[in-house]
Amino acid sequence: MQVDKIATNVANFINKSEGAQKVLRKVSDSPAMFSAVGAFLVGTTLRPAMTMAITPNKQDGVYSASSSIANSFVELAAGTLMFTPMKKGIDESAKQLYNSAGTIFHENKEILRNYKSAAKRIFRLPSFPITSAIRFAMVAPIAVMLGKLGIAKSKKKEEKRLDKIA
Amino acid sequence: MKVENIFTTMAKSNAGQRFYQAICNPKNQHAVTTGLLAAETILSTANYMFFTQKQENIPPSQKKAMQTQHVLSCLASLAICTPINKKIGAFAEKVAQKVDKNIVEPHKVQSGIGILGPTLVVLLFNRCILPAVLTPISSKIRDRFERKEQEKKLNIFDRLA
Repeated sequence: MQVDKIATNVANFINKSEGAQKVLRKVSDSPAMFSAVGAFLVGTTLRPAMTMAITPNKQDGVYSASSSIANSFVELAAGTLMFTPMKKGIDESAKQLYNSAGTIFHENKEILRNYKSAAKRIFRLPSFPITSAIRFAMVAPIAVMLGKLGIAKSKKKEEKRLDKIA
Repeated sequence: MKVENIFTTMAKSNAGQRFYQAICNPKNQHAVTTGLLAAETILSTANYMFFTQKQENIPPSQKKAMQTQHVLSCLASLAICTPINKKIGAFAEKVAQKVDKNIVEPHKVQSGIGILGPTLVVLLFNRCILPAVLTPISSKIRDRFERKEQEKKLNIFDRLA
């Protein structure tokens, strides 16, 4: 089958290339870091470039690109400053709960296993308003910085566009 | 003696134990995972709508375009990204099985394939291709809505006149 053939070719390439093996070993050592850096790079370069190239309305493209860049910076900062220490704290707490006799975590190991992932997701929820507020406060300055349009210019365009619709 | 961290103290309290017993019970796991995912999506969308609306220096039309794009992106990601992620995961597993066991630390290379493949595809698709394709679509939807709103306003003025 075609998929099997592709999988074999990819596996052969990995078996031969020491560079690819090195990269994969590094990804395996720190998956969260790889994911965060990958998201940052895609969000700050590839996505803005693609959006601006595809979108016919330049202003829409610039704002969408700015939103993506702002989101990437906020996510990277939140990941480094909030979520990584929180993850470490929860992992440490799971170890402590494992040894705490008389609790549900000590009696039922499956609850303890689910505790880690559930706690990480639950404690992320309160951060949403903070990250959103910072993100959208950054959008307009980044749009201006992109050099394609200023706020005044965009307001004029907006008025013209509304006139056209009317 | 090792000091307990705040997460341990919260989890060990009576209320904490009751809460985690309900949330982490293996019997409810599917419902809890779906519920948490829904809560995350709803909360993030609500925040998105609220904070875009609050920004005074973003033009109103851009606010609407960004909001439409976000909603479309959420729906498309649920409908398309989840199945794609599963397929890529299965493909990565196939590749990992075919990796030569005589290379240095093969288990690490295999786990790297399992992480790299789906992460890269999800990143590229969910954060790059999908939003880029949705931006022109959301602009069109926004324009259509605004045209309808303008027509409504004109109709009201006509009636008043």
